[in-house]
Amino acid sequence: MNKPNELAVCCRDLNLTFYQGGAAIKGLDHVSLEIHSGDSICLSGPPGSGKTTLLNVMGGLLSPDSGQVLIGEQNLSDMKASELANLRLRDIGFVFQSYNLVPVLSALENVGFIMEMQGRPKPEIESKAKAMLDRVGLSGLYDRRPAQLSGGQQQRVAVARAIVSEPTLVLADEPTANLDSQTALQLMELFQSLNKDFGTTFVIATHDTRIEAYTNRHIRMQDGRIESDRRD
Amino acid sequence: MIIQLAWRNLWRNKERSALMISAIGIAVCAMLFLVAMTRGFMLSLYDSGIEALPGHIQIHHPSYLDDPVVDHRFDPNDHTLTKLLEAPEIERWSARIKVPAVISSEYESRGITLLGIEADKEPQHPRHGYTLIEGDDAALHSNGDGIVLGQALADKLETRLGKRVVLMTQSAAGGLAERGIRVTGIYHSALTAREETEVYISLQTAQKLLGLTSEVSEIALFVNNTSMLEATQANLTADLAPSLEALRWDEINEYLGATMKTMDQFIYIIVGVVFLTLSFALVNTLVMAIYERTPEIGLLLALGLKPRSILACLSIESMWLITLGMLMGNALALANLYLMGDGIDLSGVAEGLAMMGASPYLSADLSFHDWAITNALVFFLGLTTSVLPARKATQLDPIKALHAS
Repeated sequence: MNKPNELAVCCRDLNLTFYQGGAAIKGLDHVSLEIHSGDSICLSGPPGSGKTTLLNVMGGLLSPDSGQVLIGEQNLSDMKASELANLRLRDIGFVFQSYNLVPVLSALENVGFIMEMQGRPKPEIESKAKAMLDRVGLSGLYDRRPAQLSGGQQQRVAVARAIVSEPTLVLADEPTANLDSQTALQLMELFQSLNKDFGTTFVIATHDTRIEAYTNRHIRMQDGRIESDRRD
Repeated sequence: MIIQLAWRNLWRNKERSALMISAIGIAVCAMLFLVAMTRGFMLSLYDSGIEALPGHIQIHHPSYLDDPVVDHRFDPNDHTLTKLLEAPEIERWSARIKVPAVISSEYESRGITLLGIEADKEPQHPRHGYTLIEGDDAALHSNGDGIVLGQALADKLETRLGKRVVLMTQSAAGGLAERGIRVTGIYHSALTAREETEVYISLQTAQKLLGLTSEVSEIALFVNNTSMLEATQANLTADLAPSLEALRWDEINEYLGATMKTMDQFIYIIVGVVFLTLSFALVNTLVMAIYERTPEIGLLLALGLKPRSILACLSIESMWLITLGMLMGNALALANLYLMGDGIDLSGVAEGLAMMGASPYLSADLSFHDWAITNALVFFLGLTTSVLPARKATQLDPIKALHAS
């Protein structure tokens, strides 16, 4: 994990245009952003404002038309597809809105999956995965398959998987969108406490403004641009 | 983890996987069964062919096969030839007279092939592909005197056991050789044409009739190891007198030789056609599995799983599917072959089979070679076929895949 306040992500003048039905849509419009280790960012804005696009570009899932993204000292534009995959595997944790877990793996196996792919030793995987599931409040549910867990529990497993391998950055795209409000707030409390306890850097894209209360930096996007960026 | 994931993915849709495993199993069973039956049929053709020739290799005068007359004879007691026939790879051999002749009864005359044989040196049951149904063939042993002819010929000549017939042929001196001889045996052959044309007397009787001392028309030999047939032929040819030639059974009976070679290819055409049908089902199953799992594949790619790991996972899943199907298919095929026992009785179409020179009992013959080739083809071609849709999956855009419904 990076030291607090060290530069974790640096986005420089990102531009990305989508074409839909012949019309050009600005996904990102001259976006520049610096994220420090330990930041917990709420990336908000209306649908189509560019939150998910920015998240995907930071995660190396989308390439910008111009501009640069640096994760630590690694420039994503210089990396090949396999190197980007490796970066996602080792340095970035993801939490998606849905289809977060592998249905045929148990909660414990889902959490340990990334570490397995990283080639870590089995005993370490098991002990860390169990500890992380305990930490997100899922003790005793190790062997449950995703279909046997509630939506909130599934998202907790996804959060546990995202942070268990101690990535530089965790990107969460609308993690509470499919949850009821109480479960959504419980998940945000979890993000908050993990950020405090482990110093994990979170960027959470959401259109739910209540989530701002659980993060220490609020970035609002509109039409592919950063409209406001404030810290608590 | 990848192996475990592949195994669990296999059972996500139990009905579909079970159906696919059954389809592979039935296809593999059909392949092995058809291969075994075809091989059994080939063996039947081969055995009949060898029995009728008979022999793996025959030694003749070079012009004998084109014009099988008494003029094209040779002496089997030649020192070099005798030495060659003592080679360890030769199991046994026999000398024969085989010339065209005419047989007459009180009522009819027919053109025939007269065979003078040494019965005690020839294959025993069935000798020359025939079965004695009346009398005996003692006359065909040394110094025996009598003639064994086919039931169909006896009917045409309106003769029977114990009656005398007259044999006429060209003598060694170029004149007419003839003599009366008693019918001492009547045989039945699966091939009616043989019953009508081939008549047997002892070698010594034939030599006496033709005015020969020790000369013969051909020497037929059987080898210990048929896979070494060409080498044995080459060894013989190298040391044979230029006035003689040694020919393999497939050179003498070119039709049978060509049939055997064609059927050898046909076996793999059967396997190929069945596999082609199977491959459509296999690809379809995998395409459906990938289609249903597109968001999940997108998730794995987004999390940083390498495309080759996805490829490995899907390929291992196919491997499980094919392996289980093959196990089932092999078990089914072996059970079927075991239950078949001695073979299928096709006596209803015995005439047709006899025309081809095959037995009316169609038995299966599954060699290790055929078994291994069939299984290896299914396994490796199956895996290759399933790699195509799996490769497509690895080229998915993670974001689009994640949001695919």
